[in-house]
Amino acid sequence: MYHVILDGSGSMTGPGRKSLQLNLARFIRQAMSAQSIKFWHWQSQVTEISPQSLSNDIIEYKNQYQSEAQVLADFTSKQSYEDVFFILSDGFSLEKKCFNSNHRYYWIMVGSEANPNLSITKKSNITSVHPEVLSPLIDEILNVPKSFEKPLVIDSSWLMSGTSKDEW
Amino acid sequence: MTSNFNIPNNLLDEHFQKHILDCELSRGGQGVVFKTKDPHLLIKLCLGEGSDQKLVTDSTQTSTLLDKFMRIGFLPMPSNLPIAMPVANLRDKAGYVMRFITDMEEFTDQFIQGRKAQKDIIKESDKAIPDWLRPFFEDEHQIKKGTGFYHSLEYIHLANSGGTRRRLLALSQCASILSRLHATGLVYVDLSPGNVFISQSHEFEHVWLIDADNMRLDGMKGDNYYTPEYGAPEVVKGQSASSQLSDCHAFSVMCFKLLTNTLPYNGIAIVEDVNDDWANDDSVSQESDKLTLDQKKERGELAYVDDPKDESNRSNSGMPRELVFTPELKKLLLKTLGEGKLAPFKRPSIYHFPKVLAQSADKQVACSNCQMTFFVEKGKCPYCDIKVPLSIKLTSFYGTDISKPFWEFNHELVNSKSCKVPNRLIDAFSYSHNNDEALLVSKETDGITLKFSNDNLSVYSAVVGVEQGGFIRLHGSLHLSHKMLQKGTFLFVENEHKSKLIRIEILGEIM
Repeated sequence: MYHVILDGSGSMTGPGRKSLQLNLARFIRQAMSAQSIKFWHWQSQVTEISPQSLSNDIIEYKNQYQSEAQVLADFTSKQSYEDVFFILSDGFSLEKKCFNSNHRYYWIMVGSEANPNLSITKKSNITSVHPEVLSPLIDEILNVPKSFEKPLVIDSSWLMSGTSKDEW
Repeated sequence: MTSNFNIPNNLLDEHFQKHILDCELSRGGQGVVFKTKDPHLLIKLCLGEGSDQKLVTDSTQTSTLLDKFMRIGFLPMPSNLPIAMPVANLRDKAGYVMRFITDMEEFTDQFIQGRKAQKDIIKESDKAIPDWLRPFFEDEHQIKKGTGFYHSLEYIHLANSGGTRRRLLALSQCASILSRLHATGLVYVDLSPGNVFISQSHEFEHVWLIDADNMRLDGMKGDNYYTPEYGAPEVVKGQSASSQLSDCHAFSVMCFKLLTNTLPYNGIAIVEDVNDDWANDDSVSQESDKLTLDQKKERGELAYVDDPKDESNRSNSGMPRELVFTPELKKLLLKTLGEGKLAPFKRPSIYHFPKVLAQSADKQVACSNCQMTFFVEKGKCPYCDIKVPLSIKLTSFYGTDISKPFWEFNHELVNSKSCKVPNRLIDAFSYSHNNDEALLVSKETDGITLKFSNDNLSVYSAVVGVEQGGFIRLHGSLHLSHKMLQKGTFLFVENEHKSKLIRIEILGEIM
């Protein structure tokens, strides 16, 4: 299961951030349409949002709310250890305690000046990426081969029938 | 030198630098772009809103525009993005100086054939029409007799301007620029073939965007300009501001236009309306009807010509789709121009386009006879029926998992020139570097030679029957004889978590 978490803290009302966050969430939905994926809105609590609401621009950001780090930590800790999280955030509300060591996190850094909390990504299970590399990142996540190690010899299963031409 | 505008040849910018205007480079609804005597600098001068195409002279309007250009400099632009940004405002004139690279021309000039070019070919038709196109041309000439637009002649322009492959690559580069822009939350606003430039020389496919002065953060207020035929319906109707979604619409229209030579909503509804006009002498009322239909088109009320669920506006004109679209590209365009026409949120993000367009380009080879490019899986040139030319096919895989290809690259091999294999074959698809050179392949009399461009890459090669098929570290270039290629040849590019196995195949016959 993949979880896409939209940071709903006040700082996300900064110019262009909400649009970028929604556009990225829609892209993840399009690029991973064959996967089990849920969307969540993280403010003072984490609430599920329907994929359709990404299309209707109904997600609200309220300046008086601060997204709470512990709330996110509690939420992720209840999910299966195999689950993967995409967090679309400018990082102002992210803290070390948001992340637990059992899950894989991808923090998609929304907003040009992201981010004041880069140090939190030093954990091995957190990858922070600029939205520009989200597409190849998803490609890599969905296509993990059994081995990247150099083979010793050619495997006969790699040969194509009809590779060679009569003329050669 | 400065067209029909009453302006001095010398203009001062805000830093008191003097710029000497040269010829006009391009013109749109909002302004005119001039070359200057400095080949790396262009100047844009703004036009007023009326139809008389006069430069802005009103001081209040000039001041407002100069403020707007200044603010563009504060946008969070990605570094090294090939967009000609304002670098200095002009003094006392509504316009700005922008940096550019030389020897570029508009997509319109390179990819869209003008009437004059068609007339020139018709005048020289004995020599200018190749044999494979002659029957098609003569059938059309019998009917049109030198008047109207000849679809057959578009094929000559297509062949002379790099074929479908060059268009696919150019569009992929343009989509990559837009993807980088969108990834920082920006919206371009007024995309059209007149605002996108490509290298004049077919040796290169550098792409640049100009007219950055409407760019802004998505969701912010601003001018909602669009070029007729390219505006998203929600923007045309004034329901929404320009957005990344409207950029995607404009890009898809441009994609459809450049690849098929027709527009995505110019189907039988439009053609029948024009025929009705000719059949009826009541020109005033018919003109009014036509305007209504054009407005309907702009407002998204006509069906997408390739919509399989709605045939009310189908079209038989333009390039046969199976020659220019892969199934993946066809699907993206249908989702944008069909399903997403009136439902912006259903449109695919721009991030999907660069890869799909590059994948399509890399499936094409150029015919040795007619120079048209075609999908190699067709088995022979669909334009002149000649067999697939001698070509290389490189298929890369994730690690050593050959169940799903990572990338497939095809290219014809010719004696005089090396074939550049792009970085996207061996590395994750990057919007900035996917088209960089990864290796060169040269045709030799007894085989091929491969040379990797990055000496720091750890590359291994293996040939069936040589050293028991073992992988050997590659140093310098690799020569593969015909026999080796026939037996089966592989490369392994080592890269911690991104290693790729590459299968090398040869298609076609030795010339």
